[in-house]
Amino acid sequence: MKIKHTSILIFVLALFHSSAWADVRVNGFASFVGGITLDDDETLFGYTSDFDADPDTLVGIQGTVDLADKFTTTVQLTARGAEDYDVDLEWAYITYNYNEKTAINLGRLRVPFFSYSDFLDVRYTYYWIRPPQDVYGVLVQNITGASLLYSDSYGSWDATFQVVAGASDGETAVGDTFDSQNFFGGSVQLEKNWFSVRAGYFRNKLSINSAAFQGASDVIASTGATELASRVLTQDDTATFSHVGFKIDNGSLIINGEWRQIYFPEGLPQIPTAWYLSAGYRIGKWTPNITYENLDVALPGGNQALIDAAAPQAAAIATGLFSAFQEDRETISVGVRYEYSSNIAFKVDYTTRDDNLSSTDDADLISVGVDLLF
Amino acid sequence: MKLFNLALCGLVLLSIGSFAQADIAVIVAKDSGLTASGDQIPRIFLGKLKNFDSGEVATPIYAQDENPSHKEFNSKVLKKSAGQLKAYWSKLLFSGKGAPPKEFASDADIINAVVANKGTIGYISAASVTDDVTVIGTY
Repeated sequence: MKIKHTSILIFVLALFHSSAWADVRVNGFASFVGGITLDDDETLFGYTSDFDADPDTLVGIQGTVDLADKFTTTVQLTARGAEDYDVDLEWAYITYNYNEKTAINLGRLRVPFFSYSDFLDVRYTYYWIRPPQDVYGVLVQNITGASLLYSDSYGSWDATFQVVAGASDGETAVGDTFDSQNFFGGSVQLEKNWFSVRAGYFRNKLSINSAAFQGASDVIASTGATELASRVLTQDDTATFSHVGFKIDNGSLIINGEWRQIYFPEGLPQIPTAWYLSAGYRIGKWTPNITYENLDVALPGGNQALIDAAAPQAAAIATGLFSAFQEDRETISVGVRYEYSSNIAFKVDYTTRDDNLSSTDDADLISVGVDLLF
Repeated sequence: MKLFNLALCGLVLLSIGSFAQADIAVIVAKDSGLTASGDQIPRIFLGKLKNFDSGEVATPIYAQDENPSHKEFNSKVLKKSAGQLKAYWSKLLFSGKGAPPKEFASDADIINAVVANKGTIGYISAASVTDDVTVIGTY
């Protein structure tokens, strides 16, 4: 959390602390998950062939305080095994409830990219041990900024519209720092009876600071291929995110799916498209489920021409870098959720990944876990 | 013979008992003029529909777990198990988009809450209905 975010955090926490504690609600959630891959060389989602209970284990606490008329403060802290259980401020914001349909949030917020984004860590609320990771794996989860939420009903349809704007920064999975500026976008969700559908669109200017890529880019630039050199760097590059999702839930049968595409033509991430289709069936306290997921990263249109026009050394470096980010893989998960009580659920999951570009990245993973609400 | 009489009494009492719990009445304040029908009622009690047709803001309230109406309403009207309902409200609670309705212990408490604020809508056992409230739906 950088300095500018800390000042907002302090502001929000000060309000939290100085309130008359008239109406304070504290709620929490936790997941204890262990997993193991089935072969010595296989790794998946942070798991290896040695049983590990850290990658998906987490605890979260959320406090909500009603302040003066129409104002609420919400703070959520999480501690994750994947991050050595460091306590992290997930989000902290002030809500102005203008009326029963309209609310404005200001502070550090979760971006509503996906159907499950808002309550991603509250795993009791869905049947997976973890949501489909290729679809849900995006760099920016939370931003510091503002969002406007509007809910209304049209006949039997209930609709929710959300617009967000802000900025974010942090580290990538390999420790490079990133900066997201001019983050802006929105989502709309419509639901009626057992059916809901959702669409979203977001854009930002992203920079990822990597000494390794900077070095490679400089070499390419020295051969005169300056446009190609800038494409292997992610510096102030515009990326857009498009999403559609649907859900059918008639009480017994659940079918849901999401599709998302990140369009990043001038950076190394290129054009990753991911989607999943999942089905579950409630039989009493049991919900067996199955999910198919697909990730494909394609080379943007202009890049091949730039590579062909470049000197052989530059072309080879660029091709190598783009390839490192390319993917073509499928993941299938089969699992069962057992609802022990209204605040405890047990889950087991078998996930198999088939990587069409690199079979050494194939893996089979078995996970077991318990999700709690408190 | 005695056993048979006893069994018959038991059967009659049992059926009266279950009959008395068979009806849930959804209520609003008597002079509020508010109505709701069809799928509007479950949508109001799940916070999906925020207003009555008249435009009045809807404030649903629940019966506490111990109240027998609670379980019946969940299964007949909301069509959710206890866990599903908790999951539903948790999604809204943890995303800061809503909070579960206030819960009241007895049917009398619910009637008082409904009468006190126009727009408040609750459910009670049909046998508890008084003249202070209007029943807008029965299940």
